Amino acid sequence: MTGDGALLAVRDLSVGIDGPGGVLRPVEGVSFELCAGETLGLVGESGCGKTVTALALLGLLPRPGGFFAGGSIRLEGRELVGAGEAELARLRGRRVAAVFQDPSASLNPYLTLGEQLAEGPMHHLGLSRREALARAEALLARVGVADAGARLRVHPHALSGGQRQRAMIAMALACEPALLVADEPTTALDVTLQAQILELLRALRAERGLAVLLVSHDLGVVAELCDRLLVLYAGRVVESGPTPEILARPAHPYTAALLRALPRLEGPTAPRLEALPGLPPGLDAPAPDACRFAPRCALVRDACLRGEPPLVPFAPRRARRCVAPVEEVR
Amino acid sequence: MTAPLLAVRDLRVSFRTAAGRVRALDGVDLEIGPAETVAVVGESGCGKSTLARAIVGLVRPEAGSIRHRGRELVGGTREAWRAARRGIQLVFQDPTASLDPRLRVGVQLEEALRLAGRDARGAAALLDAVGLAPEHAGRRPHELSGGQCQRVCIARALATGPDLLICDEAVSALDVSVRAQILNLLRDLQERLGLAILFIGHDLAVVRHLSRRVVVLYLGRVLEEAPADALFAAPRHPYTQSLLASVPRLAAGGGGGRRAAVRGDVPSAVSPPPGCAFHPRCPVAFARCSGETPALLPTPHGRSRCFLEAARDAQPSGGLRGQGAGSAAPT
Repeated sequence: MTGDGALLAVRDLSVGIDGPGGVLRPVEGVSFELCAGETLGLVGESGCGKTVTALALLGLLPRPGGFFAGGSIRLEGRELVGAGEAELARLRGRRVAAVFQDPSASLNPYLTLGEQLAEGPMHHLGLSRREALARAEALLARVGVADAGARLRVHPHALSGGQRQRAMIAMALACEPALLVADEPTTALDVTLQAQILELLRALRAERGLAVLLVSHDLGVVAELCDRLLVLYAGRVVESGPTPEILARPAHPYTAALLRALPRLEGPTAPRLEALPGLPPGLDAPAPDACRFAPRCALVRDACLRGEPPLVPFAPRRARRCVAPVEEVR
Repeated sequence: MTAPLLAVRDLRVSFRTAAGRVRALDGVDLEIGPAETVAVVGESGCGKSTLARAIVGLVRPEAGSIRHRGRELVGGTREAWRAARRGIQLVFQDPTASLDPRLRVGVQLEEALRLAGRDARGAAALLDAVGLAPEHAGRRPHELSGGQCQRVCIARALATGPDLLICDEAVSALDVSVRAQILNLLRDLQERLGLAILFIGHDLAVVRHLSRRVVVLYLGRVLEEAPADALFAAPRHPYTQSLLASVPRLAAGGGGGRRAAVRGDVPSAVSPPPGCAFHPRCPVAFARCSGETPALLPTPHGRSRCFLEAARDAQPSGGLRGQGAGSAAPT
């Protein structure tokens, strides 16, 4: 793996939070690359570090107390770790943009859609108000908001949930960023709207060569959109590889357990689901010198407790952090 | 056939809003047998939660009937409702919002037991029934995980000794692994206590896993009802087919070019479309659908509110799925 040609190269990224009880480590040693037109999914349970990793790409750290504890984030060759706030502000919205779960919390209720959609291009690209509004109208139409010209003059409350999320995507794309960070973008939507938004994201990715980092706890959504996956557990990457391969043949017991716990729409139904026992360790739990998943793992062995296994490549484009034989993982 | 535990007939609920009168439920029929699990599915705004709230008397129906163990609740006195509510308990989506943040878990369970006229010493048994340890009684909600809080909510619902548990998106806020634990718990409780469950949810895979029968609501009306296995294997109504086709598939494999199965949003309930409420989004709608409202017609296993159902009776080979809704077939 080299950094050449990658739009985004994250190396050994660690994020710390300075709290009253000491330093918490929500993300430790995460590395990945992302090319133009590619979609990478971050999956795992709540608190595994998905969102902290994603927001770090925007230079946004948990507040209060969040800091870069190490590593590097290079976006189009520019280093974000250690960059000043002014430089980050120039990149945010311009080269990297974000869409979040709750569009009504992300839109300003006091401003019309036009004002919000025009702001980015006026600020970053130096467009006039008229130019920016024309661009906003075209974008709103592109993302599937009917009657886009009239919609520019309404406030967010006048839109449905699906329309608001479309407007958020239009706003994120207004300055033609190279990277879109999508944090649970369809989690608050009905399944029908979710399918529409996923279709839209796929189309936009293809036509603009947009790189997408998708954070989702929904493995179905990830399967629909992502080329590759990074499975996180307790702030660590435990498995990475192409989506279809990981979903068909998980190589880490945690990934396998997540898949087994999932009720299915097809195939036979068992009366009970295979629930993964217990909970992920809390952020404040001391990091053991052992596999972090060991306490919940069905395949745990002595070696797991004698030190944390490294993330090791085991097949083309695949890596896992586990010492159990890969054939035993199912 | 045993007498239903709960029988809802032609239930109508409407709300006055600034935008006008909203018909949240427009003639809903529903039956739940003892120890049966029935799921209600549909998009936001279809009336799922209103139905749950009407059944426990939190909203007042305009018309219709709700009978619990044969006893009519609509138009009943406060006392009648209070008695019925001991038999029908509700569990909501957000467990932290449903618990008192200042009270220890044990105190909240004891309170529920006392209000139900039962022995407050039963709190420990309730904790045990939902898989929590005795020491959890001394904790406050913020000291518990989301899954543990939901277990406490279920324990509190059990305090009155209900025969029907209504779960309104009760597992929707939980992570995959915790959700599996709670779904297993619900199934265990059902077997042990003979509980009937009305499961309201938007995750169709969860619904398939848990329920025996499924009712599909759209803008306050039942569009389809069928046993879960029949509904998921061969959905009859174009709306059900669209819902199923919209669910993201694990087998999609990253670059999937699947097209969304249904366009647009649910129309406003203030001015629902004339005729079949689904016709503006329906992939197989024809002229009659916008002019007349189809009746809920019998199907081999249940009911479906679609004109194509009558056409299908006349010409059994003419399958709906051959007519453009074929994408709805489970992949």
